[in-house]
Amino acid sequence: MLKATDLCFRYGSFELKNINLNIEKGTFTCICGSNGSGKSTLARLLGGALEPKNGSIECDALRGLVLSNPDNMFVNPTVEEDVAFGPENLGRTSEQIRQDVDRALELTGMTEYAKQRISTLSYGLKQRVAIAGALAMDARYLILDEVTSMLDRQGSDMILALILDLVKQGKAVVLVTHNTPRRICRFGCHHGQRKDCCKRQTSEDSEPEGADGQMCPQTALHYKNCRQTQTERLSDQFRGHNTGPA
Amino acid sequence: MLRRLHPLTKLLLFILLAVLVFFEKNPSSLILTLAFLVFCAAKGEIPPAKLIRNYRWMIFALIIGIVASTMVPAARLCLLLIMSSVLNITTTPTEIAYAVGMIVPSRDFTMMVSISLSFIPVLAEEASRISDAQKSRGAKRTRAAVATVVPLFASAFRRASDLADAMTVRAYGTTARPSRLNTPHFTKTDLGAVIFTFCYVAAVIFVEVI
Repeated sequence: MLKATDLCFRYGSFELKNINLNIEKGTFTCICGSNGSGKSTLARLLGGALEPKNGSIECDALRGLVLSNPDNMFVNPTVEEDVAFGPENLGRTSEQIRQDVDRALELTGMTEYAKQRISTLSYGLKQRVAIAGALAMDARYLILDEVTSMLDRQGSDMILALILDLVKQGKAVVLVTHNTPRRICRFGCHHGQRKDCCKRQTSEDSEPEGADGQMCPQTALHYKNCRQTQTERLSDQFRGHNTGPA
Repeated sequence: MLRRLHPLTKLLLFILLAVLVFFEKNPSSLILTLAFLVFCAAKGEIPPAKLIRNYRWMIFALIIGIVASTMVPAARLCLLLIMSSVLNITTTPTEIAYAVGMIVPSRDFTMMVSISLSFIPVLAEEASRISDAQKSRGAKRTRAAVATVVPLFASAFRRASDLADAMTVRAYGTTARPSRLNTPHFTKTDLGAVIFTFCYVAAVIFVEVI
């Protein structure tokens, strides 16, 4: 379980305060919010790239973080070399790294691009490479920060389909997005996502609100898993503590 | 064949040849070096056009060298550029970083070299984009150049910050001796390349002395 307790972070006039989250394995969680509401900061905190000022993050397995602009994430020039970067840092043997890389590329559907230079790939494929990089480390929790924001409809659908596949395989995926959960919900519905695949969670034990869940009853649970209610609360918190110019 | 050589062999031979060029005063030895580089390019399956594509101004440098009677320094410069092209085309930044890592056993230094090399084209593209944006907003040539530098630095720092975060979450620095997916090995080809290069060096020294 990835558990954030009373998470606080501050830089300049911006402040995240008392964030509580509970992410279980095999669940799909959406963190939605407007620009500047602190979604990316929260993603980096959950991913382990930033240290919280107060509060704690407990995690029982490896976490992977994918940023919105994959171009800023690549260390090596070719697909397989970059995907291998994480396992190499963990000191695994060459054989293990080869297995990890092959598995991650297969999961993300990138096997045929293994030897290709990343600079020659489309944006959607680059996002897949970035996700493969996290999967190669055997990350059980994937925190994806606006991975669909710079993609067209087709590229976005490709990534969402991959996310749903990963959830089915038992990974916990946290998608930070400013897309409406309704769209993600419809996508899941269209691709036959099962209701019980996602487990509803809220940071506080209250029912998620909003008409969208009723509008799309087939994936109501799936939608409820998207954290609209919680995000609204988070936004309220940010609004209260953002003292800088609007 | 040149692409299959161990990166360390290529890097050390490149340094040797670069140093040697500065001691060449005889036009015959310069021509010999050019012939050697053409042979290397052929072995590296590099089309001649690709070799000099980015250095078309070399022709002007040579003409100016002839006019100003400074042919030898101009020719040396051109040979150095061709040499670095051969190395860059046949060796990836990762391989160069690996070779540097064998000389300077510091993981951070190696990573710094690797990232610097791979970020050069990215920053060049970014600079071009920012410059175009400034020109479209009416900035004159000189002003556009100045107005490009500040956003370029800001962008570079943002990229560096993102990359640092990405590397942190991908366990960079957790082990003192990280492993590798593909470890290059020295082969007989490397030995052949070293012997061949030393023969060439002996020939150049012979021409210079005679």
